[in-house]
Amino acid sequence: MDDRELLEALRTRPEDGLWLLTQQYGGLIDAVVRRILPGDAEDAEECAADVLVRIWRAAEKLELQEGTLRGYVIWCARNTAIDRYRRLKRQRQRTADGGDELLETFAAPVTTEASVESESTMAQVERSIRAMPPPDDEIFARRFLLCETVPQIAARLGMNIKAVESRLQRGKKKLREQLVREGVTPE
Amino acid sequence: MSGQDSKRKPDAGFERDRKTTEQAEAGALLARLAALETDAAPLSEAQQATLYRRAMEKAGLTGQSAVGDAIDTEEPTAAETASPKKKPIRWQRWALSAAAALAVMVLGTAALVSGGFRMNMGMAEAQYSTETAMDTAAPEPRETAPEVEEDSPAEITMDSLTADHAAGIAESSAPDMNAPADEKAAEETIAEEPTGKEPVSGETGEAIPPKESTEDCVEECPPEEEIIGTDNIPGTAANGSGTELLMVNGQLYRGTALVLEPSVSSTERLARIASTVAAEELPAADGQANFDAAGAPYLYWRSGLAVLLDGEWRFFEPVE
Repeated sequence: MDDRELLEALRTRPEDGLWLLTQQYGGLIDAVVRRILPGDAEDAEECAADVLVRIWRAAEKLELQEGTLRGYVIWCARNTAIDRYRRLKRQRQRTADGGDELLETFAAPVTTEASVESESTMAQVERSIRAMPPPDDEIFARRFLLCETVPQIAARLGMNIKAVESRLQRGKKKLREQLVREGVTPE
Repeated sequence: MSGQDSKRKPDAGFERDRKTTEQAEAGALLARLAALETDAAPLSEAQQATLYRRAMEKAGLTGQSAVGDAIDTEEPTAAETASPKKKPIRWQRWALSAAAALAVMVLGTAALVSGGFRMNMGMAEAQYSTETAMDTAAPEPRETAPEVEEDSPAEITMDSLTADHAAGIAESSAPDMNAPADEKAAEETIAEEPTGKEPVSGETGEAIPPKESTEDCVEECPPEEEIIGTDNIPGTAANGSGTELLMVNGQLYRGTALVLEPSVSSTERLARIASTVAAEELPAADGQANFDAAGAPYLYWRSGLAVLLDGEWRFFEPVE
């Protein structure tokens, strides 16, 4: 089933559309969510269900190019999981590593009335990543959007773990400076 | 007027261009994400069904998918939760609940007669099956089994059942009343922690008062979903001695003998026990344990943790 048919099902036959969405993208949603919420299976399952509902509610207004629904699913899953992570962090007082601040910075705001994701946030993310030379752009996209671990990224790109870490480190510094200049994050 | 118009037009045009650019960049980001390959194992049918059911509840949708008509969107009964891989068909469920109801009445009467009768976990499962199945499977079993309804409980007495049947049920399910004292003592500590402290429910952490009679056991046994099989009697299992400790995020957790069945599709991305110390020491670092299980995955489960040890997910309770 292609993206257009799936979106049409979500709009006109929600029960069918949700089931088809679960079948087609359930595994991907689960994988992204669990990367951000690895410790609690219950939370991850709840979050994955939230993602499905969010996509369903946004389907009415979504205008996607063919083949990009997968990208939207990833973006939605990531932001919903980060929102849940924030709430859990407040509850459990987890300590965040240095990467989390950037992870959260790139998170689009989550509203109770789920709608089309903020295009300005997405545009900002795309500009930031596009400004990086390869393979840094892919490393960043995988680390901060797909939330893959450094070993996973290194294995996929055929790079040394240390090399990936140092590129992330350098890139984070530049990105932080850029975001401060643009007023996205405070100094 | 024309001057004002000319002032407005560039602003409107600039805004339109900015929106168009943002849309294009947002689309480019989605295309970038869509093109990234990533490891994402497909969900099993059971996992898909669970996820779909939760999403439908959150969405406030009640209709059933014509496409997914094999999905059972009813809440699983306790019997289904305990044995998710073996989902009985409807007439089997009715037969199971009717047989369980009969067994409950026989046992309840036997308990009153013998006094001090104790039920093992297998019968507790049957009882929970009965209570929940009769609550949730509502009119169907009653409609198709009128004889069960017509014979009201008051009319079913010990006399109406054969002595052999009652003895057979009692013998197969009850602990041996002639068992040595230590076995009896072990069975009497059902749901009690091996350390002698009051047992803790997995969900809320509240203490469960000690059971004194069969009725108490029926009412207050640990939740069905946390009990797997008839062998999992806390306090009698070889594992879960209560001295296993694990430190996670500044909180110490102690191992119990409760075996859980969390729905975990893959342990690949779970946190793992990072280091160990001697058994007589207290773990101090995050992810540290005082038993030999380095690399064992764990996750938050209700008020505590679920830790995968020797192929079983064991409940670890927070140490106050």
